[in-house]
Amino acid sequence: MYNSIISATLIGIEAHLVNVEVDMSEGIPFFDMTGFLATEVKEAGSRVKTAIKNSGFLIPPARITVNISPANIRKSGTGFDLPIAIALLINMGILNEDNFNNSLVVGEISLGGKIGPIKGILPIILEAKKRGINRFIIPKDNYYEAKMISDIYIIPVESIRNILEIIYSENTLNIYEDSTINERKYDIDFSDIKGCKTEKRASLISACGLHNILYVGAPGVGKTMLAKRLLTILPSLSYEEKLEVASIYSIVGMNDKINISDVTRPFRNPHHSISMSGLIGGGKYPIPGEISLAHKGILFLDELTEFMPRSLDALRQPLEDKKIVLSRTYGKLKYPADFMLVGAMNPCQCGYYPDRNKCHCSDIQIKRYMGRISKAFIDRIDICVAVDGKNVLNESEDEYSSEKMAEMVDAAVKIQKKRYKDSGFTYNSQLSAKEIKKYCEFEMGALELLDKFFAKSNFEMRTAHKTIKVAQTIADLAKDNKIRKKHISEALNYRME
Amino acid sequence: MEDILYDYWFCNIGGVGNVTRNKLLDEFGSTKMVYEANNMQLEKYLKPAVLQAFLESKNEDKIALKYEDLIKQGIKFVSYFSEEYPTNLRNIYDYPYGLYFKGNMTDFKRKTVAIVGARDCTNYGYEMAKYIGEELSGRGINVVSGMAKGVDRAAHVGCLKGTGAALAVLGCGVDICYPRENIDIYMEIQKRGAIISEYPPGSKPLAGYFPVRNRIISGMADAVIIIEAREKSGSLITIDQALEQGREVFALPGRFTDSLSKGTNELIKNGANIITDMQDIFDFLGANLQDFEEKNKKINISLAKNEKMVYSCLDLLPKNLNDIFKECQLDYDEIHEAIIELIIKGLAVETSKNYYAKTME
Repeated sequence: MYNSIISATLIGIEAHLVNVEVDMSEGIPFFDMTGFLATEVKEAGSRVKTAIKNSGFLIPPARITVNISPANIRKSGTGFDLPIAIALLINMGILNEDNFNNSLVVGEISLGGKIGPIKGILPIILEAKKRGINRFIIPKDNYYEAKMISDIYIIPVESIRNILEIIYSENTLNIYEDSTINERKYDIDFSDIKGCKTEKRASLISACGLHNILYVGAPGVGKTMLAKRLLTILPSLSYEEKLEVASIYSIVGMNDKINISDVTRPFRNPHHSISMSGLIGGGKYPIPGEISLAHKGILFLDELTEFMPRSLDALRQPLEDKKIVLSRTYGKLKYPADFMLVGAMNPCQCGYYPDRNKCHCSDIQIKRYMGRISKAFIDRIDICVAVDGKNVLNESEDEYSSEKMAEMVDAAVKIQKKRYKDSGFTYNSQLSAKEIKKYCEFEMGALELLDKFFAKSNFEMRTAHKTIKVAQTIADLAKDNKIRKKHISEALNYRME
Repeated sequence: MEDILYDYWFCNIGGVGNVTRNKLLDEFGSTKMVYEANNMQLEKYLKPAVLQAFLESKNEDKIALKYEDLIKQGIKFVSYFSEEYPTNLRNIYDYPYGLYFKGNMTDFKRKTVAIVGARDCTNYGYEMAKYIGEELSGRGINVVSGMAKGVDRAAHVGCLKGTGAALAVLGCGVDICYPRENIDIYMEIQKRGAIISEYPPGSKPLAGYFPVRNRIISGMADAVIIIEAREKSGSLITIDQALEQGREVFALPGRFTDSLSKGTNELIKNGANIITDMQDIFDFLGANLQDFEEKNKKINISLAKNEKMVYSCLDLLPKNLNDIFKECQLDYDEIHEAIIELIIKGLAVETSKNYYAKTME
């Protein structure tokens, strides 16, 4: 007798649906598993047999062959225990095949028959849903994640015995809660920082256009404070974006959110000793790196100059492509990495330049310190602002609170969405040179100002483009339909060189 | 052999330093006489090992060849007895017997002023050194300094804008540009003055050489201006030597709290001249000041109202953008625009990210 159950495996963040086929026929007792399996999948055989026995069912002595097809995809992960067990139980006549039509089954089983959670439930369900499957038999511990997805039936199961009870009572659950309204709830606020008008304004601009930003300042002036508060004003996530974020956390088993509405833009601040594979993803059993965990959110690199130059330079390509592709012998793994880069660094080794009363660094030392970051990396940062942070204690309240700034961001994002509605992107930071020509309108004399300025300093096309992109955001923030001289001027003062 | 070759030989004997050289000269009268002296006479002054090197170096062909090499490299040599030897230098106690230089020794009938100060100077110090250098040079006064980073560099840069000769005294061979990043002024000074050193070409910039060369900087000058110095600064060594040599010292005052002005303020407290106006130094030098007024009308460029407000708020010490916001009661975009205009017009510079300073040009 033969039957098959639908299950799924993950390659990178992509889920692939597979068929778990089990054949049981008479002959000398024998158990074999085929189908390009990773070690942990091959181990499933002994786990499943023991678990079924310990659940009170007797596996008859027979030739049992398990195949997971298609055989050209490498299967990894522990989610195949449950589909194999169910297929066996159907073969043994304990379960009815009809109960598993158009259903996807995943789950790990312990020797005692208990069903444990797996990693990556979200991308698996999303892919299956796309393929027209809407009934899911999954471990109970994965239920909270799964219910973030609408219009599906979920059957959470705890143990092998539990399956029998639930299946026969047709006790399916559909407890999707539609709560996409996002209230920005944070216990930090930009109003915590007094003064620092320029710094806050630069942060606001970078949030409006999702421009990568670098804070430069002496130790202890509030660079990290600013970076953390940037999260409180970023544009809110759409439902699809939230699922993307949750999916990544799902595959690394870090999803601790109960409701989809709790999913916010992530904030990742890896320590500067991080390795290249830690940052961009990789390893023998590849996992997403910090750049993917920061997908749709902020990757904050504090003490930028202390990072290994190799690691930083590895960021260049994902910053352009918004994804990272890792190549392995068995295939290519793709992880999304659409993040906003926020950096913080000291202006020199001692940290106090240009305060010459404290800083004794020579010009060469300062140049060398800045030189730790490659030009190519600097080219990918749109806004650079000095964090001054002195005299902030006696500063009066100002207009920049997170709430007000978030309002301004939402308004500016709306303008951008309208302008770029047919173009496949949303934010000014994504403008290419060609698109600048297409979309940006300038006031008379605005471009001449740029020319005149760059005639004074060393001109580079890329710097000019970055300036225009930032100026466009400043214009959007001012609800101005043209880029004016004052916008260009302000953008020039934030330029990164 | 020509006289200059004797002098050149005399400055290049291994193991014979300034002190021995002076003793030998006192005894024998001239370098030629030293060359021709016999061993018995020399034994009194030279240790056996040095004497050996001394005798070996007496090879006329070799000396002539080495001297020719020097000329080929574009390096000239002057001795105490040459006409081109800096006049002021003759009357200091430990004058160098020979000097190597690239470029042209200038007319030492003109006045010469030394400008010294910190390498890690503030923007204020840099701009002031440049300004003073330019003002002096504009009146045909020579400016001598050490071609180090910071104040030294600024003094040379300023001087190169005027008509006075730019003189740089190095602590290494004149064929070595140290520090390397000053290559631009190193090349320019050769055209508009001279790169000078008492060390033979090829000498590495050793730490011990620098305090020694400082005596030449002050020795060549009629007056020494110190721009910025910390409490324990190398520039103060130059000042000590200047005072020993009887040179007039001018110090640029600074604020109470600035550690880079501690040294200069201390000097003023101890009786150095204070320089708060170019007139102070001109009076001392007796320089002709007729074209002074003419040069002083620099802000003729018409500025818009906002630009004027921002310009008047700027200072030689860099200010952060936030401070400018606080001081000028203007909208942020007006301030941004004014700053960029000022930078384009060359009236302001961004010294480091979001710190802006006035320029003295």
